[in-house]
Amino acid sequence: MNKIIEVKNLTKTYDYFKKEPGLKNSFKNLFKRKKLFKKAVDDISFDINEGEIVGFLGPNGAGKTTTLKMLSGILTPNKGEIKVLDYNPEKREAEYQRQFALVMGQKNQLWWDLPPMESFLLNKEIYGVSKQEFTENLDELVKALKIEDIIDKQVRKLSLGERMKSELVASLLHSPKVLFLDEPTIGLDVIAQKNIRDFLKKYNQKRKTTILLTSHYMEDIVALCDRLIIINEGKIIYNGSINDLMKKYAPNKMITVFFEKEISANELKKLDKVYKIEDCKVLFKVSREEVKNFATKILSSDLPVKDIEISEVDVDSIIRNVFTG
Amino acid sequence: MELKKTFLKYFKIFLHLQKIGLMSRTAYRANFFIIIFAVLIQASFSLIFIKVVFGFLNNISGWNYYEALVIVATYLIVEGLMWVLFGQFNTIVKQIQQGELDGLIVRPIDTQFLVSVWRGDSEDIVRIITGLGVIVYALNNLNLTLTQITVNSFFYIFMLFNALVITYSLAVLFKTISIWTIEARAFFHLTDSFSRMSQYPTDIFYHKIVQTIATVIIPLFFMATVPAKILTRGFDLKIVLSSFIIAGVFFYISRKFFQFALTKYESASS
Repeated sequence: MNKIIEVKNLTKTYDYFKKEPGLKNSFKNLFKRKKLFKKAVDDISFDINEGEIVGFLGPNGAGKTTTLKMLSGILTPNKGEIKVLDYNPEKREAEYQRQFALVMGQKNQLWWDLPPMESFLLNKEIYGVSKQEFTENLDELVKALKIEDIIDKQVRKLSLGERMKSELVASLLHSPKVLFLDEPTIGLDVIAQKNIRDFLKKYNQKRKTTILLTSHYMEDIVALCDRLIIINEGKIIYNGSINDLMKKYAPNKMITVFFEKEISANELKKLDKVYKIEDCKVLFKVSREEVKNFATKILSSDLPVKDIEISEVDVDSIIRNVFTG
Repeated sequence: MELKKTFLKYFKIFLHLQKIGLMSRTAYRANFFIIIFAVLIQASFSLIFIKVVFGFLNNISGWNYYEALVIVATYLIVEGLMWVLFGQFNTIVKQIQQGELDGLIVRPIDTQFLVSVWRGDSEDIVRIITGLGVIVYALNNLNLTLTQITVNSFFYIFMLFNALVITYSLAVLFKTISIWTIEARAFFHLTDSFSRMSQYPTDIFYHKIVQTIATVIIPLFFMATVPAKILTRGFDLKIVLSSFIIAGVFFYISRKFFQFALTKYESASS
């Protein structure tokens, strides 16, 4: 596999000034200030291969955005090495900048008072996209995102979802090889979120674009990512597939059985693994490997089973487990 | 060949941004006309002030009324160009505070260029037109032959260009500081007062030290007085040469300073 992004021992420290509340302290701070340091990213290392979609997950202030900003050359690291497409982002070489795109869900790069088309045309000049490539890409993107009828409408009149889609078009017109997405679905409704997810998935499959995205929404990550990097307080606490994460932090599945009538405790005892009894509904906690056998066992027993349900522990609660250790 | 291509590319981006600027300004019609009106009032105040002063005096430090008008007109043109081309470089402060600079740094175009021309205020062209009108009026009332006017105008254009470079470089130097301080209204006022000061003949500074400061440290002398001097009194090798040197040095320093500041940029907020 071709490594597209290589990060080694990356560290970024912000310095800031201590500020107590109150007017008196404000005056005091004019003359004497105390400098404090905060490690936003603390000695992290990871690799990303060509065509991979990797999700960056973590609470606010975990260092996700800071890492993306260092990868795109906006911020300079204090320590460590970054290589993206064999470039050092810190140098801000035009050759590198032409090959990636950064989309920030909370920031608007389109011209507010003008239709998105004007911003697209400006990006065409800035990225030196040929006329033919521009027309082809625009056509493909606009169709895939179904925004044919809004590209001539003023940006300020667009909905948040429409705006985000236009942002994506603007960022993809130059066919970047690497795409950094910082919370691309933030604030969007469920349908718009899904549209954008579906689009990204298809785009990645078709173009083999390497994508690194951050999100608060677990669904984004589950639907899109092959791999997950969880970061907290500047440190990576998990780096691997979602399946492995489940195995590690959620080794059990939940089997819920609905019976025709209440079953006596004695009989249930024979079955073992009882987690909770609620009248006719009984929950069993079973390890992943045993699920199939256990379900068969119940169904083939002479107990009056009405219905059976096997469910995954939801990812959000797994993530909570990861954070709380 | 490569240089020509790059130049064309940057010129196209510049034109496109000017077009976008004009389009977004005209999107709000009332606002557009009110701004034009405000700019006109501002420009006339500078002219009225000179008129009033010359109601009491025959000359200011050796400058007669029409010559002094050329200084004010030059100031108006330089100011106008600063607004039309670079929006006075004011956008940098907003871009830093709201994190828009992030989006410009990642683009494969020189960041200083993009920041400078990102938002020009097209309506300030009325400042330039007013300035040109005043110059034509003043030249008509000065005792200059047509040949003199032609030759002087030729050198005036270069001096005007240098004045623009100097004013731009000063704006870059002062406003770039907001990369550290985030808030920079203070520096906005500082650059503004300096360029305002340039509309008076620098000969009014009698003191040697002040004169040196006005020539080398904050080169007010070259921002309006020098172009006006060349236009009204003719070519002066020493002044023309030093104008080029000062412009070159200031541009170089401001460029280096901007690039240094960018490496210290700590993008605000997410």
